[in-house]
Amino acid sequence: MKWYPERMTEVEIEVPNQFARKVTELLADEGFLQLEDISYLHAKGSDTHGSNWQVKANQFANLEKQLLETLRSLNIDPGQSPDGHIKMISEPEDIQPFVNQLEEEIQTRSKDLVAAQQEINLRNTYIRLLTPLSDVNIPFERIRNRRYIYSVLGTMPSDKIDRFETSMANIPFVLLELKKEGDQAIVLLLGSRQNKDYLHRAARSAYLVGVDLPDSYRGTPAEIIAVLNTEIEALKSRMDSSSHEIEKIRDSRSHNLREIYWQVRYSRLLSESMMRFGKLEHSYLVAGWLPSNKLEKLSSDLQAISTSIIIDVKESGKDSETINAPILIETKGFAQGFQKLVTTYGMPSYNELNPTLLLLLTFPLIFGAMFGDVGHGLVLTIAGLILMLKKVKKLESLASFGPVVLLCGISSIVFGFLFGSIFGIEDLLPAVWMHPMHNIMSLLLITAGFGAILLSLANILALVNDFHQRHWVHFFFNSKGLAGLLLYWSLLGLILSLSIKNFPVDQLVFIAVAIVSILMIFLSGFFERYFEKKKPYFEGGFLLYFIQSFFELFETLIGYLSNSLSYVRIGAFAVAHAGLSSVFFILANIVDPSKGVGYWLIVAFGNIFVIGFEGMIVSIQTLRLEYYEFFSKFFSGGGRRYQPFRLAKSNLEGAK
Amino acid sequence: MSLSSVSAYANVHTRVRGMISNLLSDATFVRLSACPDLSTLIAKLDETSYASCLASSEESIKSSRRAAYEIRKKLTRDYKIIIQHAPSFARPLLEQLFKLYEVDNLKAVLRGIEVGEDWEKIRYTLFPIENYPTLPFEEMFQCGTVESAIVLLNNTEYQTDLKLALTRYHDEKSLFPVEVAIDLNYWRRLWDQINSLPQQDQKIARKLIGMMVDKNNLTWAARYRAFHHFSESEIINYTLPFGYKVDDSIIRAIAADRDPFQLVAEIYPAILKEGSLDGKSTSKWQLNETIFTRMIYSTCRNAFSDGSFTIGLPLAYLLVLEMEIQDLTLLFEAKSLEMPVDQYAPYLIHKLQNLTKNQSKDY
Repeated sequence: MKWYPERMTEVEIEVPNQFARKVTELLADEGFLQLEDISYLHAKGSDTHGSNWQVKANQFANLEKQLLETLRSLNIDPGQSPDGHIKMISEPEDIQPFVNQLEEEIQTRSKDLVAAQQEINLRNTYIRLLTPLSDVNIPFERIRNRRYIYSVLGTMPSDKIDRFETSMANIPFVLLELKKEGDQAIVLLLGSRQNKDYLHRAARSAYLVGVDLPDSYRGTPAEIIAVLNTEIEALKSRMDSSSHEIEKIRDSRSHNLREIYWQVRYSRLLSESMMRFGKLEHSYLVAGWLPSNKLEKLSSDLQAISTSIIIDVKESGKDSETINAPILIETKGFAQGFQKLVTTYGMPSYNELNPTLLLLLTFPLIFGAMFGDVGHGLVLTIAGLILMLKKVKKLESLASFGPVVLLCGISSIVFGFLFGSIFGIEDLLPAVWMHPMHNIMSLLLITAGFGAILLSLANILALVNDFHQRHWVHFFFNSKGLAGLLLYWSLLGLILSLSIKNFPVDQLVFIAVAIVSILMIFLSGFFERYFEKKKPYFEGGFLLYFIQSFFELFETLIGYLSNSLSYVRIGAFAVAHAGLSSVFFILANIVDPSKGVGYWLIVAFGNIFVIGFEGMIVSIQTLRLEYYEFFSKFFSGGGRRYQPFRLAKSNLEGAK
Repeated sequence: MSLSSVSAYANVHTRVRGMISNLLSDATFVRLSACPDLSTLIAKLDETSYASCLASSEESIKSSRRAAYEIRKKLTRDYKIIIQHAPSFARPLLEQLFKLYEVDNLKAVLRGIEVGEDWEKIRYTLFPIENYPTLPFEEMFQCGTVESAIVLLNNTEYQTDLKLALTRYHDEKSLFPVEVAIDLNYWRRLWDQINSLPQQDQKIARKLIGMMVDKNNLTWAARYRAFHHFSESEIINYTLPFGYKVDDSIIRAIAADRDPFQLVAEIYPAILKEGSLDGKSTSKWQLNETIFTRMIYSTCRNAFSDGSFTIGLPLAYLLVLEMEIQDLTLLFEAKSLEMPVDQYAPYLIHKLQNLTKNQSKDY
């Protein structure tokens, strides 16, 4: 693991037109160049370059969609991309006829299936309506086509039946409710044919939906139902035959279809990448970033394609011009989980110190001090090992945090021995160092001292960053720079000299240093503008500058005080941990003074509670100390992640 | 008055009494009506309790449609506060009452789809539901067809009504059966909510909401007769079997071509105080509606002085506020079209009797 992100190199590659596709394929296969969009660069006469590739990318995207639909309708999973090199399709038109033909073949059969299903549904509706009449032994045509009687067989909302009957007070009619189905009712409306229009409109206004059984269905309701069932069987066999044909297509074409699908997908992604290239009259311009150690390989691979390919290299320096360089941090093994905790806060910028290693050292230390218990630490250690070994499938995604838990567990064990605590029992092990409950004040003072050391370290790291980035005004005058550090140390010194008799350094020295550093901080804004030659040097006038600087200084002093006191929580939590554990022993004693099963159940529950609940709180507090007290002093983040153009197997599948 | 009803309604009544004090007075209406144009009217309205609604608009309000959209937000916000502070047993009714605007929006969206209107034009004709959960109107609109828009309403309370109505929509190529189904089922659900209230609340809710149902039934029946030439049976099926005073005998009488205004005057003698019209004249339908609404307005205003702790006060306030907004919307349109006062005043629920030419000039 390195203290700084990988060195990056910016390159600009000029590729003659005829090699553009080959070079793009090479870049996609190698997968270490992060492409920058320079499509805005184009020579006269080549304006349409971007839109050409845009058109191609759109065509490939449509093809991909079409193929995916076809695959879905055939119930074929596109599966994984084939191993080895995939070839780009030159023109989408080459493959379009094949895809169209296949789509048509499948659509014809699918439409047939849908139509047959609709026919079946219609017949089932007829059966549903006729079933309540199946006992009526009169031909149906005689019910509906009477000379003097008008009838409607259909469904209507049950709650509209009463209203309908009310509405028909002046017209003779019969409404038979044949069957109730949820909030609908199957009804037969009968009335005089003389009132046909009136009945028809009244039925319609009550949302009675009549079913028009074709005249071809003749006989008693039971006979019609039998005919309908036979027809349904015939339709089902038609569906079976269509399904069989679709299955045949699937068996014969699945391999080919998958292959084409991945080719089209690959071609689409390549076309999209090429949209980002710049265009000269006879060549393309490719710009991007890559790790400096990959430059040689890229150069030789490009030269192997053609010696006419020109690579222009721009080495990244420590100046602000390289601020846009993408950030590559290669972290392996134990540090991965800690790296994730850092990037959750922010991605380091290019010339900024990566605090992962510091987090790896301080996080378990702070956690262990707050959660010092041999037993509890052991449980965490085992949990960390389980995560690391990926033994539980559901927790596999958390494997990278295994080392974090493991180290926190080990640190808890160490502090457990130092504090003489095991599973909350404070009198079983001798305390190598001290019992927190018996030495509260000492512990709080020690942790405050530890905080002062960490804050000083953070300030020194801020100086290192400023030095590295050549921010000299910041380095000397900023409240997080040398002036801030001197102010902090002089204040600490003053407190120590006031509290310790015969302190070797005179108080006046600390006062003098404090005054000088206050003046330096006070004038930092002035110096910043002075060295950057920005006038006026006192922005907004001296009075405003004075007020602003005064309050900033005040905030700095308050900040140092609150940050230092924040670390006292380490001691407080160590005491709380021991205290909370002892509460469960007191409870267990009250529940079962004979120390039977009840006693041990309470103790076990208490330990689970402490490990789970307090463990979570301590983790949050540790993270808080790291993020807000420690990181905020020297780490600003804001870098952009390195995302190389890569169309290797996993990327091709992942970019769906 | 029971102690339990006092404790249940004390909170919401206190708030509603505060809201009542923000209602526009008749004198304010007279002043607003005297404004020469829309922008002056909006500026004048900015000095009232509508200021916060007008201020929430990011763009300047230039059209009457947009102004109406903004001021309706007050109704939504007041509904929200009243529902929040109403006793839990009264909330379902108030929530259902608020759904009237969702129903109006639903119908407007379906009409917009039917005529191929632009979403940007439609959106400000909709009632601003704000943060209340509602139907996916924009997505429905983007569907492009009534059928596919209705598919988006699966698993909502409208699903069954619309599924039935859709069969008729296919046959008749008209949104009429769809809109009627939505309306009838909405009011039926609202009436069911009234039936689940405590006795004392039911009484006042039946009166206030019942009068609204009466107004709807009368308007619908008269329109179905005059414009659609429906039979008695159809008119009955397309109206509601409940209300405050209007029953099927009145509907049948309208279907038999009797003058609705005379019929109403028989059961609501108080309407004669609000105006007198020949209801059979089709050009006067809207005036009839206005006169009936004025009577509801007076009834609601009277409910403000009722000291009992029931749902009456919140209901009366919400109905009065809605009428106030209805009048303001009419004023917006009248001012943007530069209509003279005598042309729009008869359609206002608030009476502008005191407006004289002198006052107009004074303003």
